[in-house]
Amino acid sequence: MIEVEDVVYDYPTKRALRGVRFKAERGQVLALVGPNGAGKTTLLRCLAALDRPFSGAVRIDGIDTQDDPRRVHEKVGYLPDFYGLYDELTVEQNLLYAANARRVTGAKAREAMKRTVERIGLADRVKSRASELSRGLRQRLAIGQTIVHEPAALLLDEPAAGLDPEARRSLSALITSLAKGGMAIIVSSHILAELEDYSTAMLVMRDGALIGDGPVSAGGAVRVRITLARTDQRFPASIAAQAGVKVENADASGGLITLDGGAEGNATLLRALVLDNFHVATFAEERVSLEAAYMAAQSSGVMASGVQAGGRA
Amino acid sequence: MNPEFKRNLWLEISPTRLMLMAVVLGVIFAITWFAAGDADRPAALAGIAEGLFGVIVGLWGSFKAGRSVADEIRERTWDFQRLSALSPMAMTLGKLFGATSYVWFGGLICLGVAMFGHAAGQDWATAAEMAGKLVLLGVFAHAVALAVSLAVVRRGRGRDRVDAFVFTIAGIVAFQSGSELSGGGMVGTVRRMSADGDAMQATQWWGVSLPWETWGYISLGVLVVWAFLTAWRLMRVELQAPANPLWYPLFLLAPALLLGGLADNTLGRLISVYAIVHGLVLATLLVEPKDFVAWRALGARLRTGAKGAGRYWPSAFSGLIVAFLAACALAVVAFVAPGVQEKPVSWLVGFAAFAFLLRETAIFAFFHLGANQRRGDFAALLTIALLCFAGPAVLGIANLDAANGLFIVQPEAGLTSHLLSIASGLVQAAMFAVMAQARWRGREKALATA
Repeated sequence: MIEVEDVVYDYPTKRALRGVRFKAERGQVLALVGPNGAGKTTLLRCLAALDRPFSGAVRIDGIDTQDDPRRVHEKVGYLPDFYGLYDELTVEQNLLYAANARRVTGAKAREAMKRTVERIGLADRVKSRASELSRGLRQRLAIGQTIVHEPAALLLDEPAAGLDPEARRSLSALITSLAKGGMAIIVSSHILAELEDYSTAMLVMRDGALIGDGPVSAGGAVRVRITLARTDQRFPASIAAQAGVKVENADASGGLITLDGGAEGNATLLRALVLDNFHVATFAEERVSLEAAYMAAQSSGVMASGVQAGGRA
Repeated sequence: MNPEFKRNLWLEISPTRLMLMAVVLGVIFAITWFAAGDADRPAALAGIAEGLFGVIVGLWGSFKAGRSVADEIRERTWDFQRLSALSPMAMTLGKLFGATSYVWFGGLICLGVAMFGHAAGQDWATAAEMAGKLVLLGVFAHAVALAVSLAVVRRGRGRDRVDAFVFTIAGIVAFQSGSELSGGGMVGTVRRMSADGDAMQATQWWGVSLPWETWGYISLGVLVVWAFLTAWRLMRVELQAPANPLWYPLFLLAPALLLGGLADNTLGRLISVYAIVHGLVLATLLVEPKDFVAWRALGARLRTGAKGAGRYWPSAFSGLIVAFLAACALAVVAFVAPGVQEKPVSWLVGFAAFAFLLRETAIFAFFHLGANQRRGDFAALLTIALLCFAGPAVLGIANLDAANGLFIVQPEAGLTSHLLSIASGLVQAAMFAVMAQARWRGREKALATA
């Protein structure tokens, strides 16, 4: 869906992106994190085909942003960190214009507007001018403008800035539902705890480059901690022999492993252990908080393999 | 309906505002009607209506058209518009006529009253002709203001009031110059008078005799299309639509051929064409963004043959090609028929001017590769001014006026001076180019280590 290949972007006195490469599929929510000046906003602008990289390629739904930026614009929704609204227009007019400007016209535009105000919780404010809305509601309207045309890829730069906790929760629910609807979503934010609610993987940037090999997908390896009710000396050798298992540490009382195959893989391994007469007391996925993973990546320079980027598996 | 036009209508038009405009204008016309004597009333109404049209459509409309893009940037909505699927044509039309819709409402009231005033003294056909010309002038002024604002926006500016003043002035100048050119203003009237004070019925354009009214409409029509296409082309750049390489040469040649054709003979016309092309290329050098990153991207694509070089190609480079071709045409005609002019012109005069155009290009490149790019244009202009004015002044003090060709073109100075200008211009261009190259290497090294 979103393909980024060795993208380099230069400012007159600084290289802002250094060979960035990753992919994001439909339904994925990538958390884009990194310190100020890491290149997150520049990357998002390149993905939105607003800025042209010096070299490399960005493809959205198979369309190269440099070959046909106008078609890319139709497929992308982008909310910049500093956005503007037409203050003198009503919520309805803002959304209708956004739909019309993305080739959604007539009755379809009105349907899109109604669907969007329901999604963003502004159904009771459609006749209010944008200037009459609170900061949180303005933020919702801005997000509404970016999704009213049902883009294939959604790029959000600090979407939760200025939102109260309740609004953040509804934003999380909205992003989750949009991802389930098939959008590929990239969210840049400094609020890691909030990203944990909905992101399926994480991209960590530093000095214009991605740390590690790109995002860790939700369907990939997970860490599982196993503890035994009775110690068993056979356990280290037995667990190491299981298919799809990578042992991080193991002894007679249990161990920490990385396991491929998702829920089905978990069930298969657990059944094998029980049939092998191991007295399994706990068999639990171990979640690493996004913040912990981020800090580890920042300090080591390389993202730990197998780190699940958030709470959703 | 064009979504951008509709959005502007939502913002501009409301019953209260329409009523306000109608009432204010109505009061002014009523005062004029009662203040004028019985016999003068239609003429007084026509005069005040035309004046108000100039203020509302010419002045206010230019401000509104120019601000239509600048306001988007100030309100941080421009990126949203750039991300829309609207075509550059729809965006240009929507802004040109949408942002000025309220202004046109007032302007059309004024036009109606002016037509009534003129028709009372003349006939409706003449009044309609006057109204048509005023409408064209208004569109021309707005298109120029929009084009200037888009050019300014490309340079990363356009937010402050000084810029708004520039857009408005550009529109007013366009309004007035269009009026003059089409024979409606003071200069136009003077041009229409023969030496003995009689009104001339026709003008010569590229050797073709045209009635003044016809010329007025043709010239105004060409200018309106030219200004609109310029705004549209700049909008295409902003919206990242592919650039057609023929538009910029057309931008140079349309006014050059239109105005150059008014000269008395072929050589004079080609000198005018070259001069206008030269001036427009210089203006492009000044206005166009001079971006090291874009130049570097262009160089990389040209070296590797990668696609997309056209997006980074500076218009001024195309302008140099057009200017060179114009200089060639001028050389051929001057070589074949040098005696047509009162004073013979060397066939090298175009090349002499072109050599200095290369020098100015190298000067702009040199100063924009420096540490302080923001002052690049000022430093380049200052250097060019020093070379063009201080150089000849120093030579004058030393009684070496004959060597002025080292710094400036002297059209009537003859072959030797023009040869001197060509050699001097090329040497100066090479010097600045070498210095620019050194700065380029420094910038590349700094970027690699940044």
